[in-house]
Amino acid sequence: MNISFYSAASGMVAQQEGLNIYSNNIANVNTVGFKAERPGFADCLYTVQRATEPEWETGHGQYTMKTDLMWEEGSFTMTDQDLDFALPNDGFFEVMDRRGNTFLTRDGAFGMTPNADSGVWELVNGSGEYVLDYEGNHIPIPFLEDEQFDEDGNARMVETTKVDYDTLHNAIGVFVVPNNWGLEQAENNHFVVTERSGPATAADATYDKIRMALEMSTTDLAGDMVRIIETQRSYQLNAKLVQTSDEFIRIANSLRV
Amino acid sequence: MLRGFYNAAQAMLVKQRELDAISNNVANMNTAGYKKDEIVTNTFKDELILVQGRRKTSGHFFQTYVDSAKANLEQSNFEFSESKFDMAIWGNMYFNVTAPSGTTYQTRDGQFELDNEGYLTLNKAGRVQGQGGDIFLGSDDFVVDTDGYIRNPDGTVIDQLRLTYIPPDADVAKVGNSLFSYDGGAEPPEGETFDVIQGAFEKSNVDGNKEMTQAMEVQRIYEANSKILMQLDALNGKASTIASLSKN
Repeated sequence: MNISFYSAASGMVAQQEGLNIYSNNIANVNTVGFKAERPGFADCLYTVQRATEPEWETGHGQYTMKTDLMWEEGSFTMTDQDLDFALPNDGFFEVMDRRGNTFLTRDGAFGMTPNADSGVWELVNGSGEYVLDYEGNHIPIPFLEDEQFDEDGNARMVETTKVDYDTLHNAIGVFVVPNNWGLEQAENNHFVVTERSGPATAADATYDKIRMALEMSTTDLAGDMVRIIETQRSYQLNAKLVQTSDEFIRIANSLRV
Repeated sequence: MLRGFYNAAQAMLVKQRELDAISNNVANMNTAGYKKDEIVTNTFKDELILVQGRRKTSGHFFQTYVDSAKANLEQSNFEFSESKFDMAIWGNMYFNVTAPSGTTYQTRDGQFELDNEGYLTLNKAGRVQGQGGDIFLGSDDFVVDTDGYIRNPDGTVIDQLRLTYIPPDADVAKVGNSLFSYDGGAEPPEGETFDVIQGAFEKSNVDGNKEMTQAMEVQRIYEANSKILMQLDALNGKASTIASLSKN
């Protein structure tokens, strides 16, 4: 019978879930390529309390219907790292982990590592996952060649330790999905393709890359702080109403001493 | 005299119900597109009750009754967001959403998204309706203008949002998931204007201060009624003591 107890409690639960999402946004304020998320709330069902009063329907509180990935482009920061890449337009890098699973990512802080089998230097990301080219293959690091003279005075082209950044820049694949908002954000800066986002396909050459830059997190610190204050106040009001409901029961219980 | 008992008890019951509504409003303080419930109480001033054993009416009955819970459809403010799937309406128009059950409801919750098949949807609540039924987008490349036309980036019209006019004082039934059920004309009256705004959603129109003040008021009235009830009980107690005295 005491519906207000549970309506207010459901509000507290939903606010807590909202706070979890905002906390995650703020915790990732420095995460490269992170996209902020947002809780979507809805009201619960409405029921008639007494058959004689069909007009009078009581609501039963709030629940978290969904979490939205808020897609927007983050700002860029220029770095001095030769193997940092950022995507100024839409699009994603694709990386493959050691088990062969592929993920999308906006995090272009790459490095190189020799392949354990072939010994070829390949492009990897911070978690050691291989960055893929447009065809979905690993990217061997291209090295510049330089002219050298052997003992007989003949010129020969010899591979140096200098990376051919132009070739590498063009080799890195960019992929797009029909609906960025439908992606699922996963650990290690990954985005997982879902039915809602549609499949990832190789993008055309208009999707640019910037070298020596990284995309920053899209967390809106000021906005999220405001939402946290709002969430906390809402939580407080709901808690107060739980208390008020309790008071109602106390009064009812003390009717007869 | 016993009628007083029931008047007070009824008032307590009604206040309990009012608190239920207040709790629901406060719980939905940040539910997008939520419209607050307001309680309409009614005295049974005209209600005459027959006293048993007498074939005539005896006086008025001033009991409070909850008449109905009415959603206050007042326009609320917008929050602008990064999502191009967010839509808000300024005016008295409502989005149409067809639930999986096949029933079409109205809503002001504009936090839309695409479902697995690429249709514009309000999550679990159902698919958003255009002039041609469900709206197939399939990608995030679209723009919505203030008249509700959804267009490709090159300007070709995909569909127009089907909007229903609900007068601000109308009585809508809420069904949860931010949906309303309203039976009435979909055509807006002459001169009615509205704007559809993409990239914003309408917030809840619950005012926390007002709700808390109401909660305090409701609590005090509840308390006062409980005191009346106790005094009536004490009065009855006295009456029965007199009766037992006269026996001896």
